[in-house]
Amino acid sequence: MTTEAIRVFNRPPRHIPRRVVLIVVLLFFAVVFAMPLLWMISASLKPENEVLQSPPTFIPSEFQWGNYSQAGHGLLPFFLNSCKLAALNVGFLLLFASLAGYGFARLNFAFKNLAFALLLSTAMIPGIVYLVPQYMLFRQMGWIDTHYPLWVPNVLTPVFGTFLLRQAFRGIPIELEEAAKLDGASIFGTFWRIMLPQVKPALAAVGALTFMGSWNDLFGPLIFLNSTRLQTMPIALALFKGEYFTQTNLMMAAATLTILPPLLLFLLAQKYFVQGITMSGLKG
Amino acid sequence: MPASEISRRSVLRALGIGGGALAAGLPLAACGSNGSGGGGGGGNASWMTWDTESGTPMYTMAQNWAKQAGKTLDIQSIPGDDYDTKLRTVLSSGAAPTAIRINDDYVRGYYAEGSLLDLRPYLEKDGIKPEDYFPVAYNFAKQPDGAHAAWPIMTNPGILYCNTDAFAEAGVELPPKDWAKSGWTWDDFLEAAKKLTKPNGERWGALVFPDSSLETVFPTSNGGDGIYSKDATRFTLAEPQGTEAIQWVADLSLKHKVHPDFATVTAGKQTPNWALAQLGTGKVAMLLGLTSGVPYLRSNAKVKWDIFPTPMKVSRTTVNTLTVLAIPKASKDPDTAWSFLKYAVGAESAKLLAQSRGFMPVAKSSSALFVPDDKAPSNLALVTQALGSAVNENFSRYIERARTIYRPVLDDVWSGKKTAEAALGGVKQKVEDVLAGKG
Repeated sequence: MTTEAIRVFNRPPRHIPRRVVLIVVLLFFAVVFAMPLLWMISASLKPENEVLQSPPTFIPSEFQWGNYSQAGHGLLPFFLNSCKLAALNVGFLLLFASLAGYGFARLNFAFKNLAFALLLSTAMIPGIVYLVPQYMLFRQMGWIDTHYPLWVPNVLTPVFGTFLLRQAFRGIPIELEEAAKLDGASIFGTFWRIMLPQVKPALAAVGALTFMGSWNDLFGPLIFLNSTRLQTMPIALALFKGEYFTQTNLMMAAATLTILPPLLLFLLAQKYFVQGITMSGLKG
Repeated sequence: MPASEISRRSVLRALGIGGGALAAGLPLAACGSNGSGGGGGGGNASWMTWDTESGTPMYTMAQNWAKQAGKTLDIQSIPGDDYDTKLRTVLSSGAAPTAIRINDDYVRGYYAEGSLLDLRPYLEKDGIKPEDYFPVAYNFAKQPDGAHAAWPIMTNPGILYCNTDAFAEAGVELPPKDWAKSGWTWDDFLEAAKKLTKPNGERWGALVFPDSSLETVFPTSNGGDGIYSKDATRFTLAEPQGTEAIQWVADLSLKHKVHPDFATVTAGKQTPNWALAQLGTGKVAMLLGLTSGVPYLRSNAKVKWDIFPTPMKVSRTTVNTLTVLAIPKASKDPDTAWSFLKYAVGAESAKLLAQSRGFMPVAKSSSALFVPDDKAPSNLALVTQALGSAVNENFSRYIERARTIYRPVLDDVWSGKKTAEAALGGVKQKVEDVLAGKG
């Protein structure tokens, strides 16, 4: 809810009609935003020939819970691969991005601004441009059909994470760091014990965004993996799409299962997520 | 921990610890390397395809080949719309699989780029007889320089699906079952569509999807060449037979109101099975489609249905698309790849591939496998007849770029903003420049 909305909401009773209008408007938008999600859940519980029935129905004539067991059959390896890659991406990216972000925000070294500009400029090159050279390089390294291409390059070039955490570190009063130095803390000790805990919301925001990026990555696994046993959840979902027709109800059941981890993560970490975006100065 | 002590903070902490442990422990533990090192995979042979489900006829066919050939086949299944990106990446990187599946639209382009092996030496060595195969399939792979660049294994001709319940209810005579029978003209089709249409969109008389099937079936049955001339140098869709056909289809919606508006149809394209579901749920009485829709309707149609010939004006022709395999020029084992391709059109494979009734294998003998059973369609013999009058799109290596030019202007025709003649005529030269490699 926006600040204006909260202000209107907290006004005295004479503003009740305005509050009701506000609630109705917000409910309308909530329903509009939730509609694709609700349609997905509804379709996941229908027989296939009811999914595109006209006029459309929302409640299935018969709840087909079996769609979930049918769609979920065999999904576990994909799920575990996605979990593993998300954990690797989040864990290592937070480590490297926070170190780099702290360095760019607080340490003084030669060509710091140039290095930061160079770092940001790497994000301007579309990935498709270097796809073939990257594929050839990974092939020479024996990385094709392994998980390495899906996390090592990501965590070693955490441009967005570095930028966001740099902004967060810059927002912390310098006195805090000076006090640590006076108490004899080393640079790393200051970073690890004093500064890092101050940017927890930003870490949560970067972590959540990295998790989503890794969890939803379709293109990377598609290009760099060949073996089905190494594939991830987005590929599993794509496997439901047939060339000429698709079992839509099963695909929607699998999609519902796929969104559960990010949904859960967002519900648990939404406070930090919003705070992190706000404190790093990215809020519009 | 008692349930009362579980808080969001404790859950987050546990997730953090778990994630950290995974992050620290897993990278070195296993990144799933199987040592394959490239697109060639780890087995004796590899096959890149977009067939996604193990247990489907194509998969089973490939596994059967591996078994009888004593090979290990690494099936690299690449789902989704990025198949060509992956294929181009592996071919450019020198990591070609042993054999590949390839979109029939792009065979000419891949061959022109030098990515596909000419199969003529194998055809000659094994005494392959062209007359054993449907000409529309066998001749498809022939290139202007005489090379045989690919290997079709299944056909998928265009036919007309009819909701026979709707015909009975409206008292409309069904189209002829025989492809060669005279009559069943565009006018007959329109008259039937008018009678089958119910007001307020309750039921539409006809549905024709705006894709290359439409762009081929109607212009060729009007005496034209289709989208491009046979030598793929002229944009014949913009010539009189083509524009007349396109306008006639657009008028089904704009003038005669027997067809859903094309904005709805285009939007439906984003939803899987949309067009087939329109017929299967009784919202549409006649649907122009490929035989690949048969398996969906067999499982999901709520109305009685069957397949019939497409309507004609000058001649009764239809479109054909193909399931195509090929051998990359950089394949490390072309002999093994050819063994796989040959097996894919053999009698054993044909039996397997014909099961769905959606695709006719390319060997003429496969017609005997298309016999009706207790499920629709009963008129399966029509598929063989359709193949006799089917044409492939006249492909150019620049087909992708040509489409990006003329498809957007077709939207103006479907919406009634421009006539087909004005819209397509306006881009004719531009498309032809692209076809000539100048665009």
